[in-house]
Formats: sequence, C-alpha cells, structure tokens
Amino acid sequence: MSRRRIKTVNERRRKFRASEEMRQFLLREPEEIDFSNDAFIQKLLAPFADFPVEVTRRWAEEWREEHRRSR
Amino acid sequence: MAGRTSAKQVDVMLLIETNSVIGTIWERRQGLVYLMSFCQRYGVTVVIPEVALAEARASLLARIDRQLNSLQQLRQWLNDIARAAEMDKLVQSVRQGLNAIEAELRKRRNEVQEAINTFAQVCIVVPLTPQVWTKAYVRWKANMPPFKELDCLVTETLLEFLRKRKAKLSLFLTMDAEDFDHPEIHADFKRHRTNMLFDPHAVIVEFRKFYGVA
Repeated sequence: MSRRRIKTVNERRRKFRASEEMRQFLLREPEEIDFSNDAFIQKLLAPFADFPVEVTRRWAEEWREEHRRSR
Repeated sequence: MAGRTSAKQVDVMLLIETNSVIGTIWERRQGLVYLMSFCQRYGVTVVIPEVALAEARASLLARIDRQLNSLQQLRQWLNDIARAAEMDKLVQSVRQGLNAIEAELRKRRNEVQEAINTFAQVCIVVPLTPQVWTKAYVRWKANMPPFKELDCLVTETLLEFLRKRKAKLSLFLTMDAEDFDHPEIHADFKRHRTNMLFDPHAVIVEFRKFYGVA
C-alpha cells in the first residue's frame, strides 16, 4: 500500500503564492491606484459619481444615524 | 480577470455587510474600492447576506425616491399657481425643467439597481431562510449582541453560511464596531475560523500576509 507523502511547508505555502499581477496590486496602497479605468468599479460608482463626495458621505452618515436609532 | 483561477485555488473568503456597499457606492472609500476591485479581479469570494444587500439597495434608492417625491410636491404647487392666466406660460417652462430632472432621476434610479446587481454578481448572496430568521429572532429577543434586529439577521446569516463553507482565510469586515465589537460575536466567528475586522486596511494587511506579499 502506497503511503501519501506529507507535503513540505514550502509546498503548502506555494498554493497561496500570489501571481505577479496580484503581487503588484497588493504592494500598492489604495490611494496609489487609479480606478478610473476599472469598469467594474466605475459601474458601482456611476449613479452618484457627479455628486461631490462630501455630499454622498453626509448621506451615508445620515443613514448610519438612522441605523443607530433603530432597534 | 487574469488571476481569477490562481486566487480560486487559495480559497479566501471576505464576508461583508451593508456598510461595505454604502461605503463603496456613497462614500467612495478608497480601502473598500481597493478591496472590491481586488476581489473581483482575482476571484476572491465575497459573501454578503441577502438582507444586507436588500438594505443597501433600499437605502440608496430611498435617497432618489425622496428627490422624486419632492418633485411631485413641486408639481402640485405649480398646478395651483398655473390657475392664474398670466402664470400659465411661466409654469409650462418650469414643468419642462421638472420633466428633464425627473427623467434624469429615473435614469439614476436604474443605475443604482444596476450598480447593486453588479455588486451582487461578484458576491455569494446568502439567503435569509426561515431557520436563520428564527435564530436571529431568538438572538434579538434574548438581547444578545449585536442587539439590533437587522444586525442579528446579518450575524446569523453569516454564521449559518460558515457552518457549511470553509476557507483557508476567512474574514468578516464590518465597519459597525459599535454594534458588532462584542466578545460574544468575536467568539461566534472564531468558532468558524473567521476573524472579525473593522477597517478595510486591516483586511488588506491580512490579504498581504496570506499571499506572502507583506
């Protein structure tokens, strides 16, 4: 009966190794990335994109306040 | 989407709630935008309770609906004003402006629906079942954290999901520390090998560690 070889630590870690593209993404800070060409993100932001961010942040705060008052 | 396959193999799960949707779409928080983009590009599983997605959809639409209602009130006042013969022409031009605004608001309403649907496409949307609802009701009635009814529904939905699905790295991101940061909830998630975090940057740090980029 053949025994399964136990994987070495390096072999196990290899499974989680990021691709180079992924690495480059993760190495950057959120503020350093320009998402203006990211179609997925732009679709999420589209409905309120032309409102000043201070305005939509105030709406979010109002929403949180409503949530705080709920039970 | 190039890295989707490689990330799927590592099986990372990011559990979120309503704040992540609101924080992305309304607040445009860079940390959240970064996380959503990362998860979408590299196939990281994002998990959201159906009830949280519904709450986000309703909240975003409510803002536009409020504007549409105000428009309707304006129209009623205009009808009143238009009874004076000399006002009729002026009212007509205002009505044309209101029609254009209404058309724009309705377009944005559709865009909100599309944005939420797009958000949902990269997520596993966990349904609210009668069993989950019952557990959440008991949690809420027993005055257990997170205390609020909706938050209890979110908690029980995610815990039910975690009973069935495991991942090498499992994180629950909530920006609602006020309601969720209780030892009991930490322990509930810990039992399912899931860390509860309150800041998108903390999630990014965990991702970097996991992928060996830190």
